Amino acid sequence: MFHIPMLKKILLLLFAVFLQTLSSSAAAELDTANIYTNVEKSVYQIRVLNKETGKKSSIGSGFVVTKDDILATNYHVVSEYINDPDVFSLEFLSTSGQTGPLELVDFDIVHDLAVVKAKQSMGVPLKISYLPEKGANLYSLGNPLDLGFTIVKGTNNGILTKDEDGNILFSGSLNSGMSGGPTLDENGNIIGINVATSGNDISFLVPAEYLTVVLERLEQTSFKPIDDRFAHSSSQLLANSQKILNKMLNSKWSGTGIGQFVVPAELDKSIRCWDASRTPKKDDLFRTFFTRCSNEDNIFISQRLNVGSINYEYMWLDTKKLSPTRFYRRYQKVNSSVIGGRAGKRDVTNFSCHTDFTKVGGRDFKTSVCRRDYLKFSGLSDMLFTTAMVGEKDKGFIFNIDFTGTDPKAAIKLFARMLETIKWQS
Amino acid sequence: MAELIFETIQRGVHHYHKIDSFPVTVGRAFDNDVILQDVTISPHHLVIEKEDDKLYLRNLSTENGTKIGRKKMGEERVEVDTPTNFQLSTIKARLLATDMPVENTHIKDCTGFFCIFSNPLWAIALLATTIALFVYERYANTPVTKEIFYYLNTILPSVWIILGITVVISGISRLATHRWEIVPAISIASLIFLLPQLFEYVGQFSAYLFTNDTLGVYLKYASKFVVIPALIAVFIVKTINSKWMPAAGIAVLVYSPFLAYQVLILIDELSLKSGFSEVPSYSQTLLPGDKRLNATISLEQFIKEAERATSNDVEKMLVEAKKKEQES
Repeated sequence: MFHIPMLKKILLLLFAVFLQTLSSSAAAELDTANIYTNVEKSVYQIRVLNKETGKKSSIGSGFVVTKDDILATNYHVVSEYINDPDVFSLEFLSTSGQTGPLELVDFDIVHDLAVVKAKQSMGVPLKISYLPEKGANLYSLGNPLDLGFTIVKGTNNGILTKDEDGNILFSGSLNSGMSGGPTLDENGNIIGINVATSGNDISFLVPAEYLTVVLERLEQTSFKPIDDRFAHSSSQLLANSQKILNKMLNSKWSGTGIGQFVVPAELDKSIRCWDASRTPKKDDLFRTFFTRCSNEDNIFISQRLNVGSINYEYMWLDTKKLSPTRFYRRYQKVNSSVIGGRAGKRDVTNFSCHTDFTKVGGRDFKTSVCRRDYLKFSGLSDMLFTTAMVGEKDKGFIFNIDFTGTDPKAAIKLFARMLETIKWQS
Repeated sequence: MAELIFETIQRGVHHYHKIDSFPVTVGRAFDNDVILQDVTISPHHLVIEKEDDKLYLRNLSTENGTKIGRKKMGEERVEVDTPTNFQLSTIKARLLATDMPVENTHIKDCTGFFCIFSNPLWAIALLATTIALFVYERYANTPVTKEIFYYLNTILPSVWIILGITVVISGISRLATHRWEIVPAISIASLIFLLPQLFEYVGQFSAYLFTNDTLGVYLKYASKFVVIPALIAVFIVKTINSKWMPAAGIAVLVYSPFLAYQVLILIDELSLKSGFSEVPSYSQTLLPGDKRLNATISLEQFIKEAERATSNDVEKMLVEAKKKEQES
C-alpha cells in the first residue's frame, strides 16, 4: 500500500533521476542473491485483517530490528489497525508461510514509521547503518502486490534537499506491498524503510535514523506499548506543525510583486510557488494575476485523512475599462476560498469564522479567519484565512492561505506576519 | 311583496327565488315550485312549510338527502329561522329574510396605492424598468465586451416568462369576473421579477454594511416564498374585490407547484446547515462604495478578536460533538 506524492514532485524529479542513473557506476559488486539469503528470514509480510471476516484489508512489509520480537514497518501499512483497533487486527506472514499475531508498540506518524511486537522470536534483528554515498547500490526487500518476497536492486540518490525531513530518493522499482520493507546497503544493513513510489524507478525511503529515534525511546520504556494512540498522533502532529511554522516564521522571506503589492513568495524551501494567471484575451476589460504556492508535504493519517498541507494564493485584479459596479461583480465572484482534503463529519467540527476590516500595507482589507478542530486529534485544527482589499474602485487584491492539521496559534501568527510583510508600492 | 328569499348556489352562480306562498316544493321534476336542474337532486327533494309564522323544512329525498349544517335530515320536519344555511345533495342553499341588509357597494374606480398598477402608463413603465434591469444585470455580470444581440438573446426568455405570467394572472380575473384586467396583471407580473431583484440589492448592501449576511438570507427567503403569492393575492383583492383570506388561498394554490419546489430546496438547505459542511461560511460580499459600519481596526486587535471568537465557537462544537458521541 503506497500513497503517491504529488504529480509536481514526480515531474520535477524525473529529469534528475535520469541523469543520476546514467552516471551511477556498478563499482561495488556484491551478490544480490547472497543479501537475499542473509536477510530473508528477518523480513515479513504485515497484514491488517478485518476481525469480522478474517480477510486481509491491506498488506505491507516489515522487518526484525533491535530485538528478535520487534518489527518495524510503515505507519500507513498499519494505519487502519491503529485508528480502528476494534475492527482490525494485525498479523505477520513469514517467507516460509508461517503466520502469527502482532501488536502495536509505538509509531512516528510524521515520518510514517510504526513498531510492532510479536509473541515469539522472529529471527535475527537487522542492523541500522548510515546512508552510503550517492550512487551506491541499495537493495530493497518486500512482498510486492502479494506476489511473494522479492529483492529489488537500485541506486541511492541521496536525501531530497527541499525539506530537512526529506526522504531518500531511491532509483529502483518499489511496488505496492513493499511499503515497510527494509532497504539495505551492500553490507546488509538497513539504511531506509520503503515508503512510496512515483513509478518509473522513482521511489522514496524513510531514512533509518528516524527509526533509531523511535527505538531509542522504546529502549527507555522497555518497549512498553503506547496508551492513547490518538493523543500520541496529536502530540506528534502538533509538534511537527509548530516546528515547521516556527521555522517559516523565523526564516527570511523573499518578496515578489503582484499588481501594486509586494508579497512574501516562498516561506522556505519546502514551499513552491507557481504562476496561475489567466492568459489575457484581446477583448478582456480587466486583468488578473494569480500566484499559487504550496508545500508539497502531506502526512498520512488514514485513507481519508491527510494533514500538514499549506496552500496560499495571491490574486490581483485591475481594470481601466470596467465601471466600479461591473468590476466589483467580478471581484466578489473570485472572493471565495475553500479548504482541500477529504476531512468529513467524523473527523472535524464545522468551521467557525470571524470577519472584520483591517489595515494591510496601508490599505483597508476585509479579513476573515476560519477554524475547525479535529474531533479525535485534540489540539489540531484546520485554519483558513482570507483577506480582500476594499475601497479601491478599479483594483482588487485577495490573499488566501489555509493550513490542514495545524497548531491554530502558530498558523495565526504566521498569517499575521505575512499580512505585516505585504507592502503597497505606488 | 315576497315573504322569503330561497337562494341556491350552483357552480358558483347564485340563484334567488322569491317565495310568496307556502308550502314550496323543491326538486328536479317539473311539477315543483322551484326546479333545480342537477342530476343529484331527487325529483321531489324538499318542502318548505310555514305554520303559525314558523318555518319548517321537510326532506323528501331518499337518495342524496338534505343537510342542515352538518346534520343529515331525517323524515321529521325541522323548524328553521332566517337566515339558514343548508345543502340539497351538493347544492348549497339559504333561506333569507327579504329585509336582510346587503353588502356595501364596491366602488369600481380603484382607490389607494393600487391605482398606479391599474394605470396603463405605470404598468408599461414597470414592465420597461424590469426589462431594463434584466439587461443591466446581465451587462454588470459580463466583464467582457459583448454585442447588443448577446444581451437581447439572454433577456428574451425572461420577457416571455413575464408575458406568460401576465396571461395566467389575468386568466384568474377572467374566470372570476369575466374581465381580463390585463393592465394590473402586467404590473403584478413585472413586480414578481422586480421585487426579488430589489431585495437582492438590499441584501447585498446590508451584508456589506453590517459585515453580516443574515438580513440578506431573510430577504432571499422572502422573495422565494412570500413575494409572488402576496402579489397575486393583492391582485385578486383589488381587481376581483374578493376578501383577503380567500384571495390568499387562491394565491397559494396558484403558486403551490413552485412553492413545493422551493420548500424542497429549503429543507435541503436547512438539513445541510444543521449538519456538517466542509465549506467555511464567512462574509464574502465586496461592494465598490465601501459603505460599512465596522471601522478599520489594527491587525493586532483583529487577530486577538478572531482568535477568541473562533476558539470559543470551536470549543462549543467540540463539547457538543462529545455529548453526541456519548449519547450514541
